[in-house]
Amino acid sequence: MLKKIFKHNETYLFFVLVVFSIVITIINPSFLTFENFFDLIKSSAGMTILTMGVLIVLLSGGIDVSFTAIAIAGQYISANVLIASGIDNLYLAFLISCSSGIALGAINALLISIFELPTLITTLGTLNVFHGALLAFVGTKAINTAQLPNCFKLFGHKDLYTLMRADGTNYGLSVYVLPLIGVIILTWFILRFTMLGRGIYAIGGNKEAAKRAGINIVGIQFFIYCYVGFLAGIMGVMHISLIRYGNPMYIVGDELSVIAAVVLGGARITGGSGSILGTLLGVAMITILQKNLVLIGLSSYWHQFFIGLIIIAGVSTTYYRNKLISKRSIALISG
Amino acid sequence: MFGKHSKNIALFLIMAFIIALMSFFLPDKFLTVVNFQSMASQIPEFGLLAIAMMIALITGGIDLSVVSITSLTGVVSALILKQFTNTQIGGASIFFTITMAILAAIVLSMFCGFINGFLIANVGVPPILATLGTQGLFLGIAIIITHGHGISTFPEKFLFIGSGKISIIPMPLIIFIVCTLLVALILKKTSLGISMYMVGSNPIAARFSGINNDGILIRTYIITGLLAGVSSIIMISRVNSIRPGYGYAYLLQAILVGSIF
Repeated sequence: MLKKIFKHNETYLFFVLVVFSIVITIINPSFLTFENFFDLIKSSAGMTILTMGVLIVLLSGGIDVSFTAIAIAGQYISANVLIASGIDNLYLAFLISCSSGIALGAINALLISIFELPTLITTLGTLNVFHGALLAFVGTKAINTAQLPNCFKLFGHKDLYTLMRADGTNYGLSVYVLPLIGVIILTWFILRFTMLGRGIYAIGGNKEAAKRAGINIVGIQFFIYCYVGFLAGIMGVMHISLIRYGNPMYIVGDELSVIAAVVLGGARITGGSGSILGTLLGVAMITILQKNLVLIGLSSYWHQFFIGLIIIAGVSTTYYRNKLISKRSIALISG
Repeated sequence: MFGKHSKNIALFLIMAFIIALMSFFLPDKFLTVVNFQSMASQIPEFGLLAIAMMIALITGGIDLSVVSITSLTGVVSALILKQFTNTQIGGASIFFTITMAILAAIVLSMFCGFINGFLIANVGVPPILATLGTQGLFLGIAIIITHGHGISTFPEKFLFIGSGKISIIPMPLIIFIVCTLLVALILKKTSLGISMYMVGSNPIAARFSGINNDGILIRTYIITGLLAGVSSIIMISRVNSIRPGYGYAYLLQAILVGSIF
């Protein structure tokens, strides 16, 4: 039993995370407070939602770098439509953002599945096309807080559950946990209990074998890239509500750190292997690192350096372990 | 239709089409010596990064850290240039400073490449992940050194590399052509180059035919780093300043260009 637990990548990640948290807490006890945790959850909710999409793409053996452009497109279009029409409704914002996300995802899927283009190159291209088209046809003007419809501000401000600080002011758990948990459960359910999820793993493991086994590869790829677009749409609305400011230049450029979180969580870049738990731990790791270096007294100049270091340390241990295991098994076979 | 060169011919036709289009619509602006000179001094820094990326792609890898290597080496050689010109003496010492700065950039960029190669070949990390990590690492070191600020105004003579001309040909273009020819020579005429193609197309077959895969990969990433370092020298000399994160937009374009070939 114990041996089985230690075989998992997640176990190592979890221990590193615990050690890391203990170190931060010793240096600065304000790390281990509800307030800090609520804050971490709220600020990382959008990124976590994106990682669920990236995880599914990686599982299928592909890679998607265009989701940031899809997210900003969804955000900017929905906010602009709401301002122009005067309708102050959050559900409409989500509807517009998610459907434009799905539409853009479908373009990716079309190029990847019908024309069989490599996923990295396709999405690199569409990243620039989507973002360029957004800037050229929709606009480049930033949306400031005064223009922003109230529904966004309320959504970003709303707490599900409030606690009181010692001085009598309130803080709380943001309503952001609802879409967050919803997306995690939905993704988990798809991967765990549906034929679709099995198909995603199968394509990532061996595309040819999956095809022979009668799996509808084109259909599944359409689902995958549309799902990424859908999640990016959700994230876009959450992002603008959080910072109460919309700029079409935001989000784009963060795609590699989102992918980094997923691969840190143990997802294989070659497909077929990875888990939701690992991904969540990877996100937790990067978020805690990003937000709490300041708590231990390091200036923000060190962020980039430490994130790079953690990624290298994380992937090195995983892959070095694999290398040793495969060496050992070769030695066993050749006797 | 044209055998193995069909891809190159297609690309050439597309380029000819774009040039024709440009000259047709903007004849008095596009077809001028000044415009071609300005393009020729901008292409090299990006072109070197794309070639660096191509080398990594040939071995079946990728190098996401090239732009971060440019930032780090650019910052270090900028500091050397600043340090020595502040205690101004003149004459021979300027050339000494410039040589030092260029040497530092070259050695450092090769060392950065070695770290990438070590992680990929000896630790066994997939290239995309190893260089994703070192991308943050190298850029992070550059940010720590300068606290995110820029460094600018270098000695007059150093600027010749980025904005000087020999008759009408801009200096960056000459450096670019020399580097491209050297890379072509390595790829086509040396055993290193041929081994790189073999490792890229089938690593297991390469190993069984007696190629030292690890050594080839390490050398590949050292060359990649070196090209990024050369690109950084041209870049800081052309714009006469450096800030960590300069040229980040080149990264994805370099992958795109590198993978078209």
